[in-house]
Amino acid sequence: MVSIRIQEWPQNTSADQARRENVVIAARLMTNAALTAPCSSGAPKVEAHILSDLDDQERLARKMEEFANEKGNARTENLFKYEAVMVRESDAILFLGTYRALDDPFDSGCGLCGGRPNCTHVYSKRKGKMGIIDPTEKVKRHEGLINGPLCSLHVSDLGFSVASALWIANTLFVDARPFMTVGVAGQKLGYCPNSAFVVGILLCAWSKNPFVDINPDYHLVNMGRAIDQLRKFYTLHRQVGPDYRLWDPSKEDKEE
Amino acid sequence: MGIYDGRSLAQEHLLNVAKHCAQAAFKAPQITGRLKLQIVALTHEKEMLPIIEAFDILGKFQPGHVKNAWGYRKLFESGETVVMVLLGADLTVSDLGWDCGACGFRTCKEFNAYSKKHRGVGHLNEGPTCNWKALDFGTACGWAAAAAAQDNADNRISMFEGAIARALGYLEGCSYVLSIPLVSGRDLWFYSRPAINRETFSYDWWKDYVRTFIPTSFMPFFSPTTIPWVKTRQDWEQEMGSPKYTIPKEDQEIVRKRDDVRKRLREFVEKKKPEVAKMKKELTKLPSSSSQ
Repeated sequence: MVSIRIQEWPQNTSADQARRENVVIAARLMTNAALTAPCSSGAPKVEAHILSDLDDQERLARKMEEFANEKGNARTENLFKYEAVMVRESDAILFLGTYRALDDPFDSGCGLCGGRPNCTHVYSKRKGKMGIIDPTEKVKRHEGLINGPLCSLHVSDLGFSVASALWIANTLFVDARPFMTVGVAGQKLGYCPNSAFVVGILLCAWSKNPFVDINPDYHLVNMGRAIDQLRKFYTLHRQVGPDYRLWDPSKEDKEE
Repeated sequence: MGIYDGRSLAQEHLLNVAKHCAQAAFKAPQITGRLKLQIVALTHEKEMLPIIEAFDILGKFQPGHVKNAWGYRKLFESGETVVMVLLGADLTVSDLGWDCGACGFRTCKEFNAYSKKHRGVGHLNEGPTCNWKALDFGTACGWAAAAAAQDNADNRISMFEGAIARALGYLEGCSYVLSIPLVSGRDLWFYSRPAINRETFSYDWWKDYVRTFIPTSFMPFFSPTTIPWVKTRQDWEQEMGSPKYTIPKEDQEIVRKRDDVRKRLREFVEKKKPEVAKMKKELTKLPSSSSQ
């Protein structure tokens, strides 16, 4: 026998938790789609991690806010800040990474990475032995978000996986959107540890898709903060009034 | 309404599937929101022929490509309809300003400066590439392939077809082109390759091939003091007198063959470019597109 009540509000109740669990099922199915997606030569190269835990989501959001200040620039600062809010609002997060892009280029000399008929753009900037790139090498130039250069063909293949995963979400009517910021911060926190290039897909099954219609200053003006402000002000304003046990002014309302 | 032949119906629907693919690719979610995607669909044999002929040339060096040419020819011979959806984009410019470093440069500005100076062609595609653009392009192609799969049209994403189409000029200004061929009325045409038969496939050739690409599967146990050899028959111990070795060595004959195929391919592309340009001028207009 099954009896499950599902409702998106109030948050974090058993009815809301049941809804979140449904989204995790969608994330699992998306992962299968990502793994069976088309890719160059059919060689496996994708790893995945599903996250649906409010504490872990908060940790990820804070990492993104840290990146906004420490690694962000004029273009990315607010991406990190705004999208950190979306991480907090997600029901689940699916990380997809390509674990071959850094140390196992496709070796076809396709030209994507450097515009040359070989893979030297990647190999010349990496240490290694006998054509095997050393992924443990400490790279001085790696002060940015991603440890490049990477095999762009593998990255493009990851796009196929992201597409298949998103297609499943779309088919299941679960709101989903892929993000650079979520992937980059998630990778630094250890999700998809073997991958240098990670995409974070946020998932949510609210009546309103929280990943679209994003207002300016979203890190300051958003549902979470609005509700918190309401709690603060209501708490303040409820203190104006008499002891209901001695006198209830509503009983003297002439409208009744 | 009348009686329709099912195969004809399926073939006629193929253009609708291509429309669905194009719709899907343009609608596909993007991380950058800045990908400028181009799509063309080839629907006639003569439009795909230059690509198939290029496979014939490539097959002289890499036999795997010949089977692609066989596959298409078989389809055309049997009167099947094929639609080749070509998707392309220029990934060599980063207008993101994210300075993520995935390309190997510290900033997008440095990448763009390098790209402007060193933009070039590899064996297949142009580069260098902004990896986030590459990801979005992959997502668009994956979304298109998913659309075709949803419509039950047999399909496969092909990088070689796309690369040849790019070189031939089917899509201008694109650094990376991928092809999604669609065929109706068939299952697994582009995967299990029913076009490969006794006439076109030799078991002996395959045995040599498989020993070349996974030699470790055919190696006997050997000590570090001996050179490993590859077993080629069941009574392989008998080969010990004249074993076949796998030793990394230079082979100038292969280099010559490779260079010759590349030269012939370049000449072929240059020869066919005007033909493709002429076909593009005659680009079929859909009834609804009056402005083009």
